[in-house]
Amino acid sequence: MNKDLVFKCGDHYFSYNISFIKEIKEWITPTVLPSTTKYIEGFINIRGEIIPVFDFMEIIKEEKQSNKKALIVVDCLNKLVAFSVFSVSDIIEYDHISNAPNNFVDGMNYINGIIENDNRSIFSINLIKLVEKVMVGE
Amino acid sequence: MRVDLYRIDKLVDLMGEILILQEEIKNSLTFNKETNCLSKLEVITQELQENIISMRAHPIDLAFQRMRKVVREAARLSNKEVDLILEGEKTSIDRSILEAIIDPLTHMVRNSVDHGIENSEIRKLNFKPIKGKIYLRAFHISGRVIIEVEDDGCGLSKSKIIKKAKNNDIITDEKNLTEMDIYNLIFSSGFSTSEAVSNLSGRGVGMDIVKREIDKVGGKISISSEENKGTKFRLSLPLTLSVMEGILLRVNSKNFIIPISDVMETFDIDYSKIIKIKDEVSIYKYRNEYVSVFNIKHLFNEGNILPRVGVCVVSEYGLKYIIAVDEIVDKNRFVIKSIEKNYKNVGGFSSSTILGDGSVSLIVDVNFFAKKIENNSKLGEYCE
Repeated sequence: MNKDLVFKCGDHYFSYNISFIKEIKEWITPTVLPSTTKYIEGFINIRGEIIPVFDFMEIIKEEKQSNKKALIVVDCLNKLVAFSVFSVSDIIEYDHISNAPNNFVDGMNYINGIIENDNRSIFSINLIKLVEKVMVGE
Repeated sequence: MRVDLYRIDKLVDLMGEILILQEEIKNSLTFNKETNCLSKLEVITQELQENIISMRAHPIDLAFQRMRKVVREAARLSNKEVDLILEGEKTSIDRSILEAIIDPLTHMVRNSVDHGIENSEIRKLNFKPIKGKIYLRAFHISGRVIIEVEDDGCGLSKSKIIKKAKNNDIITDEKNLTEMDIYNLIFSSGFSTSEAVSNLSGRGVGMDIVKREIDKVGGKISISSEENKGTKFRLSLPLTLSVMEGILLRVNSKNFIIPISDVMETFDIDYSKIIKIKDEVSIYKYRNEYVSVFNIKHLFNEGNILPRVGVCVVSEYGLKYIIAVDEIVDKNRFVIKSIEKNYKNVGGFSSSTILGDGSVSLIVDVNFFAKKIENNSKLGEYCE
C-alpha cells in the first residue's frame, strides 16, 4: 500500500509520495531572487533554514500560476525545497497505478502514472526528477 | 580543555538565533522607544558572540607547519634550495576556514617553489643569494585575516602571461588590460605559465581552483609582483563564517545587504554628476574620478529611474563602482545563512540572512556585479 499527498493545481490533481513531505504551510510571499534562473520564485525562512520556493505549475506546464494558497515543503535529494500549489486536498492510499497515456505531453517526464481515486484522476509525481530539474533551472 | 567541535557549532547556531530574536524584539519595541535595556542586551550578545567565535579559533600555525614539509618536498623534487620563513604563526583563524585554506595554500607554496624560485645558476647570474626565500605571513587587519605567500624568485612575466592567455583563447587582445588584469589572468581556468608541465605543480589547473576555494569561504586573493624580484600572493579572509557586518538597504521595497568590508562610502546621488552612456551604462563623477553606476533596479527590469542613494563599493580586483539604491535602512551584524545548502550557487548573491521580521534577505556579491560592469563597459568600447 502506497501513501500519497494529493494537491490541486490548475484543473488537475497531483500527488507526492508521503515519505518526502516535510510540512505543509500557508503560502507566504518569498524573498524574490532577481535572476533569470527558471522556476525559482525566491526564498523563505522556515525555523532558521533558507528554503527555495518553486512554482509547481511553471515546472509542469511552463506557465506561471496566479492562484497560490499553499506551500508543500519536501525533503528530497538532501535538500529542503518548497513548491507553491493552489491547494492541498488529502492523503490517499492506493495499490494500483496506471501508466500515463503516451499522448499526455505536459510534464510527462515527471509523472509516475495516474491514480484513480474518488472519481479523480491524480497524476503521481516523480519528485526526484522534479527536484533534479529545478536544481538545474537551465 | 578540548571541546567537541559539534557542540561549538551548535552554540554558534544558537547565537545566531539570539541575534535574530534580538532584532525581532527591537522591531516590536521601537513603538515604545524603550531601547535602553535593548542596548544592554546588544552589548552582551556581541560579547557572547565574540567569545564563542574565539572558541572556534585556532592558531594558523597548524597550516603553516604543514607547509614546511611541502616546501621541503617541492625543493627536493625541483633541485632548488629554499628557505621557508614563517611570521605571525600565532594569528588565530576560524577552524573551518583554516581547514578550507590548507589545500589552496599548499598549491600556492608549491607554485612558489616550482615557478617562483629560480634554480641556483640563474640566481647566481642575477646576483641573488643561492638559497631562495619564501615568506609565509599571517596577521589581522580591520576585522579580516590576511595571509601572504611571498617569494624572492623571478616574478610574474606579463608578456608570458599574455602570450599564454592568447594561446589558450582566454583573451584576444591585450589592449586596455591593466597590470592587475594581466596578473588576474592566471586565475582563469586552464592556465599555466610554466612552458613544460612539471610533475610538481601539475597541469596548470591550479590557480583557478585555488581562487574558487578561497571564494567559497568569502576570501579574496590578490597578486603583486615585480620581474626578477619576486611575487606576493595575498589572501584576505573573514574572521568567521557565521556572522557578517553589513548595511541593509532597500530597493523597490525589497531588502538587500552589502557586506561592510566591500563598502567605501555611502552618499546622496547628485543627478547632475551622472553621465549616461547608453541604456544600462552610466558613470558618475565621484571624488574627481569617473566610476560606473550599477542600478540595482535593472535586476527587476525597472532600470529607468535612478534611485537617490549611492553606495560606493570596491571589488576584490580594486574596481570601484557605485550601487544605486532607494534607501539605507540599517547598519548591523547579520547571521549568514547558506543559499547553497538547499539550493545552489546563485549569481550575484553570495548568501542570505534572516531579518528581524523573519523574512529572508539576500547578501550582494560585489565581485559578481563588478565583472558584469567590466564586461558591459568593454562591450561599450567595442561598439564605438
